[in-house]
Amino acid sequence: MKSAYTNTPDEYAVLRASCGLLDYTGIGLVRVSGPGAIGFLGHVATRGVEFLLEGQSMTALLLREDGTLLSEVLIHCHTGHYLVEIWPAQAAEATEHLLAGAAFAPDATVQDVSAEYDVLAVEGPASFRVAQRYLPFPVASMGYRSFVTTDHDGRPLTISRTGVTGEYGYKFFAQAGSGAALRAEFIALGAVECGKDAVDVCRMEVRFASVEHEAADGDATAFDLGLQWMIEPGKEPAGAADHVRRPVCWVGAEELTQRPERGTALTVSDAEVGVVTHAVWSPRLGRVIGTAQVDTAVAASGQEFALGESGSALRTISAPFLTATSLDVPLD
Amino acid sequence: MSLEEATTHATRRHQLALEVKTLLVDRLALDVDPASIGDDQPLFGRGLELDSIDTLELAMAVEDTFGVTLTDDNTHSLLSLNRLLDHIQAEQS
Repeated sequence: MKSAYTNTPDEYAVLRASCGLLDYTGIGLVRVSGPGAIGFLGHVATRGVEFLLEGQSMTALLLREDGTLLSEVLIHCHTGHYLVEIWPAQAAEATEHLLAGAAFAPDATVQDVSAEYDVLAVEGPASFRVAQRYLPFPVASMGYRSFVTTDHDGRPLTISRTGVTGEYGYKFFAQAGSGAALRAEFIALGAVECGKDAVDVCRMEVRFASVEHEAADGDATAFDLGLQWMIEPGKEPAGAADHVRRPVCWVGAEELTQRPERGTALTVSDAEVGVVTHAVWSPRLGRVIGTAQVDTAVAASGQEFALGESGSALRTISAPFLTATSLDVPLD
Repeated sequence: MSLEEATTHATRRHQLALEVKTLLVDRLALDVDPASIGDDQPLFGRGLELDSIDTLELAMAVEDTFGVTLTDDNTHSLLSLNRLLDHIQAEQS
């Protein structure tokens, strides 16, 4: 994924107000099939797939052997196989993790099929109008986390409703080589190319945890990012709950215009109580917003902390930071 | 804000959060440990995956337990557990 095509504020505005086009070059796609597929995924992912029906998708986490967070993944239930979708930043390590795990699951076939697809997406409150052009049924009847395979120019095209910005969002899995034509069609329909920096701002605003940034040091757990709810009971790694810090969301004071570095200390009365884990500039809020890990004793919404050496104030708030535009846009 | 004030605020908030999480699990018969629900976990969609029927039940449970009303005008208070806590605390103060 490119960081930006024009500039991030303009691309952000597109994602929040109309229809952005995302190019998922570098996305990880792993096909799991065979009689042992359910068992394999139940072993490697934090949620079992046994209740997933054909045409449905679910999110889960992949954890390393030591319980640290490797990736959040989407698992799509197709006819006869599952397709595991991995965010580009974690694609290489997570794909390797899944392929290595297959050695212990002789009844499951695990294949890296990233090269078989070109993956594009449209995101934003108007994106459903683009998706409708490719669906053989009313877009309103397509549920969140569902997908359908249709025909486009004589080739199969899988469309999933699995957006990542909080707005309406649809991914398109096209045969490798046909992505360029599809991209041109989307642009002709009014979609505007957007990069991952703008997506990152949108994800933060609706509090979609970013493994890429918040677990950048590689030793964060699901609890560190507030994603413990994605771990099925009984699958918690040892020591999972033994955490002295919790994740919080915060909004910087008006004078804070520069994003603080990851690891910048947060203090109360000169006592360090936590560190910043990720921050972005939110054009809509006109503030720097972010996440932090703070001592459990003070981890709550509504706290006032000071930031690093600058001492600039920030206030912890409840997620999401804002309500996505699409919440008030009917699918018609 | 002093460290003591921050700690006191957080302690109260954690207590209320646990009460609401337990209420959610009990009244909606969710198969989850209340302690595993995150404070910023979404209540709909990709979070607890509640639906409109759950919303009605949750609204009644919150009114019964905390004397706080949830109406169509404050549905944004149901976007996350923390948002719901904000609403309860604001109405009670």
